[in-house]
Amino acid sequence: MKVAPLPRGTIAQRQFVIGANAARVWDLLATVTYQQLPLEQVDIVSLDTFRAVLRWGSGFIRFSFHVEGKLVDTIRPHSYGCVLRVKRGPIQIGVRVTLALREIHEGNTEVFCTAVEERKGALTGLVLRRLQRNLALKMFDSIGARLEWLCS
Amino acid sequence: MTNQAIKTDVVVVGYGSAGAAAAITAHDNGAKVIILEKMPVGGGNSRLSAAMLIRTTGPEAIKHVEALCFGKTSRGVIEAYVEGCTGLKGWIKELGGETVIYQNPVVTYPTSGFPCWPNFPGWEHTELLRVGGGRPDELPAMPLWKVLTDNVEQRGIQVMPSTPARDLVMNQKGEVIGVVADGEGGEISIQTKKAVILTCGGFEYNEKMKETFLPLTPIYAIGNPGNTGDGIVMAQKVGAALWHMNAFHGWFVFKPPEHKAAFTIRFHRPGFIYVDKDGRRFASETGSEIHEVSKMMMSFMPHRPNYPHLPAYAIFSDTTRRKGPLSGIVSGANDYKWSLDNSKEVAKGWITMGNTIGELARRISVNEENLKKTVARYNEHCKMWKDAEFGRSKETLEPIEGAPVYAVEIWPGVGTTSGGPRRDQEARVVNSQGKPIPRLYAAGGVSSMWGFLTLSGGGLTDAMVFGRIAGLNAAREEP
Repeated sequence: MKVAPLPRGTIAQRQFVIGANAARVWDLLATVTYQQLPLEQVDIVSLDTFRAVLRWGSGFIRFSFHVEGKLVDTIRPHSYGCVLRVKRGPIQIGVRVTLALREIHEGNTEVFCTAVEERKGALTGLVLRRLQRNLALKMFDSIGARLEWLCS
Repeated sequence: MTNQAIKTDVVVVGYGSAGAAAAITAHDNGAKVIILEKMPVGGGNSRLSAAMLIRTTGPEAIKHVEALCFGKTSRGVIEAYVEGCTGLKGWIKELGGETVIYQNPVVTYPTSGFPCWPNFPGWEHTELLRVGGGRPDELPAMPLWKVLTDNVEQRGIQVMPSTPARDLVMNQKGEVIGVVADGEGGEISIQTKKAVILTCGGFEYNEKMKETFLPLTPIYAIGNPGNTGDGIVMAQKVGAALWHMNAFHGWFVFKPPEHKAAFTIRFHRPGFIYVDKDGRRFASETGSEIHEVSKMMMSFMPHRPNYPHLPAYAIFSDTTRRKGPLSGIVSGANDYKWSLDNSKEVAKGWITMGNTIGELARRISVNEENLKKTVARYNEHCKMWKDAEFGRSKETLEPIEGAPVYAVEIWPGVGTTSGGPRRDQEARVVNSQGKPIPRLYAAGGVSSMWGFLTLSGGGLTDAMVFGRIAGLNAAREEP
């Protein structure tokens, strides 16, 4: 099967179908997403913004970043989105994560997850891009699995 | 000490959002207005709130509000509220504020946000708004409060801070014709040609009134320390009937003796349970909207003296501790920054740590065997994905595993009391015969419409809707 290339700036994409209507899936999204993200010390700084420590790693390499998150494009029951920004020395990353919902046949809902790079600093090249992609895919998969189980 | 006499059309007693809304509306309808504020700075509970506003999108919303009121609020008041909610967004826009749909940044437990009560009919005909803008690290209510205070200032409405009203003045015809207040330089008598509007908050910091009217003791206050029930006492003296006196809305709180206000307690991860003095769970910890969790502690057990669930403890895992601060964005009136990983509070002894559940139980003097069984049973529910005891929703079943484990003592808290002078749909205060006391109005926490449950944004919306109604009707009074 031929897979279409990812649009420019796209870090990761996933698509899954959940056996519940869009409103039910949307209501669970915030809970599930927040539980699955490896965030600690979450500080809610305003009604749509938070700061936290993201702990993440691959193999023996473990990272800890201070992130700032801002909710964007969050419209019940159509989409849930967040921009996550990381700044640590020369490393600057901005990722927009969007989970778009579309109700399809027989009360099922298609969830389309994308992570798109918003900005990058000088050292945010290949190594970190791979890390971002791994993190995004792992998060999307765990969100999908959790939603599927909760709606089963 | 000198006595001062002032004349005006309308006096607004209390400068929170209800008072500001009343003053602006009365002014815009031709009245000369003075605002009295007891505290050095205005804002009341509104300034400490999450500043959410409810907008109704259809008449079906009446069903939702009626369901929340449990028959304790008249249909007329509910209809006026629902109609007022519809117009609030446009009014804030006229004042120069922009409302946006509220988005919950992260999910915390017990839950808040939208929808608060999805099992009550009609919630689909409501939405939750907040006034946009504001800087990170400033209180979430500041954008709304700035819109209101800017408009009060632009209109030249006189605000008198540190000037608590003491008495209402009534003439022989039974009309309220003024207010006596205590100014910094002495007594101030203000004669009103039109009306007096009470908007001076509830009785969260009046220990005697709480003991008399609220269903639990103690209940710790989290909000504006100026709320000591002054308006209620003043209204009673001129013959006002009372309503909703045993209704209160509050979170679970932790109350260290060195702080005047209590700290609200909520969790960023669901790996926690509440247990009572016996070490047993007593409710679905994530099943209630956050403003009403204190009601979980109201139950009575015939075989046990006093309050069987006071104090209670929240027992939680290390993963939950590290996820975020137990007391956060709406954390009350204390000048204290809770640490993001709760480590400072562990070191202070506010949060108790144990390497095992047994050790934790001994440290908080809770029955060790019971607590061990309770945690084991709860963890078993998590494995089965079904809380067979209290029906906690499965997406919130997260086990309490690993070491160390923690406990924080929790008590019922009150953000706002609802009780005060009974008022009608025109915001007129009524007497025991149900007749309006001429020229006396009330709005906001001094006389809230929420007689049993409330919801996120409920208090602020009620304050602003009936503040506007009171301001309009006060301005229309014949001099």
